[in-house]
Amino acid sequence: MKQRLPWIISITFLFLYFASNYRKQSPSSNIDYDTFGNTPVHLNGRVQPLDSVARNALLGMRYKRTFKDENGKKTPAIVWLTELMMRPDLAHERPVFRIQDEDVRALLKLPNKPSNRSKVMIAFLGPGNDKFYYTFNEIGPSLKTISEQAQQASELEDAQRSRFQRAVITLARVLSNYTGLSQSLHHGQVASFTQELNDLEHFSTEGIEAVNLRQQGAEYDETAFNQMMSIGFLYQGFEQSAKLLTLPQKTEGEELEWNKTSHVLKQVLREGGASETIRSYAAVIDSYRTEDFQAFNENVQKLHADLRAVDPTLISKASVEQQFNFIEPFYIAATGYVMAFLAVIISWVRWPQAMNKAAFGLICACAVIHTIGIIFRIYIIGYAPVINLYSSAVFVGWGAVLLAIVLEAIFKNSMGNATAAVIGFATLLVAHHLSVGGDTLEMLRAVLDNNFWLATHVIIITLGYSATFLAGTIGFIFILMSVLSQRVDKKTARTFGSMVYGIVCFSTLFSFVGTILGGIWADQSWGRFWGWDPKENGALLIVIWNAIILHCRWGGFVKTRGLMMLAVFGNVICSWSWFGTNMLGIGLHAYGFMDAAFTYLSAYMLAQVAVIGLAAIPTRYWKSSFA
Amino acid sequence: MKPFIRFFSSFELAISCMALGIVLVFIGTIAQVQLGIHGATELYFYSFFLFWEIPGIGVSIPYFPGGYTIGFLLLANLVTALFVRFRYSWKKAGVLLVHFGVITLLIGELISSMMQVDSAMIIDEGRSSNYSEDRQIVELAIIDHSRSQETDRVYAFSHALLENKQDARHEELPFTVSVNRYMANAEIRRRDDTAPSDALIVNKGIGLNTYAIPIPKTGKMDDVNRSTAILTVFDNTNAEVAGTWLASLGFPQQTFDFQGKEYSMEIRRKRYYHPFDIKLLDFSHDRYLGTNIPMNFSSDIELTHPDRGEKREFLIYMNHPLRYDGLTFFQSGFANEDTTTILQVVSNPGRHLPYISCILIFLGLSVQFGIGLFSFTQKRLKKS
Repeated sequence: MKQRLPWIISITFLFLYFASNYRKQSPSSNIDYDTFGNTPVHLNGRVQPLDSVARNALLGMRYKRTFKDENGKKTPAIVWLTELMMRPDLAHERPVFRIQDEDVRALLKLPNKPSNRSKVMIAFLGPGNDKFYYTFNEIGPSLKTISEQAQQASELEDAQRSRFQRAVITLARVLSNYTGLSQSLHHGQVASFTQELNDLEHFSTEGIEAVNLRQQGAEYDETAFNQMMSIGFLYQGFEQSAKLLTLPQKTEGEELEWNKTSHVLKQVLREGGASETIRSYAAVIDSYRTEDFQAFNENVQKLHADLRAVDPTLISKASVEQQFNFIEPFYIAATGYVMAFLAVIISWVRWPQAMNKAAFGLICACAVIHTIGIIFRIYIIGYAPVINLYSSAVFVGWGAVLLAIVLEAIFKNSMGNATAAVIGFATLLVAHHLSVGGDTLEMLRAVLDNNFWLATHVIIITLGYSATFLAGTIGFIFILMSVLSQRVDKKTARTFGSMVYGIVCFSTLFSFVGTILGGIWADQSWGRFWGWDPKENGALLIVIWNAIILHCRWGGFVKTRGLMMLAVFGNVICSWSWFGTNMLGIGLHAYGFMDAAFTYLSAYMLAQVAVIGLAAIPTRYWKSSFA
Repeated sequence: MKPFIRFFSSFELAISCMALGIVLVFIGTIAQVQLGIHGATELYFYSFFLFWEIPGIGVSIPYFPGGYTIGFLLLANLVTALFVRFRYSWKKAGVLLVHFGVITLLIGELISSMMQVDSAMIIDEGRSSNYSEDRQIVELAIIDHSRSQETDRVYAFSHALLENKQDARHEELPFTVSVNRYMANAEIRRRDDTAPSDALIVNKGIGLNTYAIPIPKTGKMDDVNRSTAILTVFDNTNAEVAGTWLASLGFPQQTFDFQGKEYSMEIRRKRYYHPFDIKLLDFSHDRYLGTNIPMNFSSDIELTHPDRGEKREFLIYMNHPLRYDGLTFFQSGFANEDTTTILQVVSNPGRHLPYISCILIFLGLSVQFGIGLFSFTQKRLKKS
């Protein structure tokens, strides 16, 4: 029992953290935000719950999936989105736009805001990002300037744009997203949507008649005609500005067709009345506006019943995604990896056996959560797990963690734990920063739309990345340990050497086969095996580098130290192939162009080179001696 | 062992080649930003050496081995090592397979680099085509309109002729076209007082109102090299000059009279004629609802091969090309508001080799590492 105690304590700790995080997803309020957030809408080519819409929209604006309410309390995104869609006048006062670029702030004549942190906090942590947040009402006067500047900037090729121009384009996109959401459920020109629908149904016969009579050149009621025209214009604007498709409808072919809320005008004019779904939406909006929250909750239930009547699976599929949002598996896993890393560090100083076991337990638990997250994504999108740069980061981490678990299970020397924790956390952090662009469950561009190749070529090559990073990270830690501490003796050095050798073999197999499969995919779809496209070249570099490592070892040119140095350089090559090639912004594989990441990538590569430099110091100056 | 053979079969050569390969692939990829994928590939990967031009003198010196040099060295290394270094035993079967796989791969890429031909077939909806156009190479076409009402006779002269400024003549043509000037890529401007003096020799056709100035060639995917030439037509019998024209890729055909017969000339993309016709029945371009993300492009085509008495329909879409007569037709683009399809046509005789090498390498690596893993676990089991 005493043996298992650290193990049990650490996992309990992780579980408690998970539970408290899960509870935080539901705001404490009279309003049933959970149910409303589960309402399915159509955006970015797929059906998703409003909860996802809210999170992704805020992520694009604030770089966070939550916002702070007037009391400074962290609040789930759905609260903000509900307000934005139904009471935009209130939402416009919320500072949700993060504008960090100084030139953009100067252009918009935005004042610098004071930090709302206390003086003590500022002294320790700096002023924070609060001062970069602005409200829509603050930006509002400059909307025209922004769109003009963005227009100018978008005429340039992406690579030629300055930092300012990129920032302006991002802001313009975020603003259009914001206004599109605020106009998605109602145009906001009249207070009561239900009343408007009643009036519309009541008036429609009269209005249509006036229009018809005028077209025939007969005498017509001019007031009715003018009113009909103004309704037409209002709904035309509503149609154009709305972003969400809210109204599902079964066509005759039993397919689901989605329309914007403004479609109600056509319903009324053609079919004589608004559908049940839109009636329920109107009731929801009205009760929110009159702050009758009990009615709001009931109306939301009614809305869901109507949506279920259209298609029974709509709500249940949306709730799977909402649960995925609530669980935040990748966030929890990332936190767990940090805890595991701390346990490993402690194990090097005290209680080596117990803490190492605790770390291993945590890593395994995190791997399970990580896997659950990936399974959720596969279920939601219906494709093999790697579909974009974001998911490749999640998957590379996952693969490396699994391999490291195998290593730890065999060697039990804490190296597997340490590397699993480091790579697991780092890749999820990278994934988080890649997700800021918006919906990571995006639809697949036509060229990628092939589950067979996504499941073979992409998965295999991504596992190749995992293994390359794992070997490199072991090398990295090994070099630091042997140069700076006395922990490494002859026996451990040999063990670490064989760990790296084994992983390099695995990596060679996967990156080689994965690369050739990629070539075969290219031949299948483009008629050429190899096109010297940057991403293909990147994959080739990894293959050649792994081959060099193996030949150097087989030829006896390197021993443990050299092997480790070569493996660490594998990190440089692999990170360049993974991200650097996308930064070139050319070729058929340029699916995720990034700009800000360049600095981080360079810093990472420099760190690897620095450690290789450290290993180049003659061994007599090393603290460990194993030669 | 002779030192020569020892050198070629050595580990050191293998590692050096791979290291050089890494550097070459890296700098070649970076160069693609400037030169485009095609441009950089020709310069770095399908070449024997990279040259650096010493500024001012105009002399180029090789400073790094190109793709061919490294590839051939590696091939030589692999083949000699197979004869002199490898010990043929079951234990080494995996390694052998892998190396055979790599040899196949190298040969396959060599064949592709020399023999792969890329062209594009552009068809409007409802129309058909029996040729595809090269994306890089142009030709000078002289068209004789006087033969019959229905058909013209076309004399096509090669890109090399233009580049080397050779005279274009054919026994059936009563005149010769000489190339005064050739520009691999040019910018066309309206002719005015600033035009250079050699542009002023043009005295017929479009060149009366325009002139061309040379600009550097581009290798980028979406950019076009406007091949341009100044051409003089003279009589074969008395060398009398009929006129001087400016011809450029993208200009319409320029018609002229010679001895009472009507001819026209143009610089156009080199055409490859096929013994079959492809008719575009319908092109469709679907996007995901509410977005601009392409969900699918497809061309519904009808293939007619009169000699074989073949006529059938086929749907070309992403990841689903038409393979016919040694050619691959895949969906590469569209134009004219989704009413014109652009099919990329690839002929690559070496395309089957990578399949073989994939199998060899997969088997080889699995066997080899499997043996390694097996003996490793055996050892550990014995220890414990």
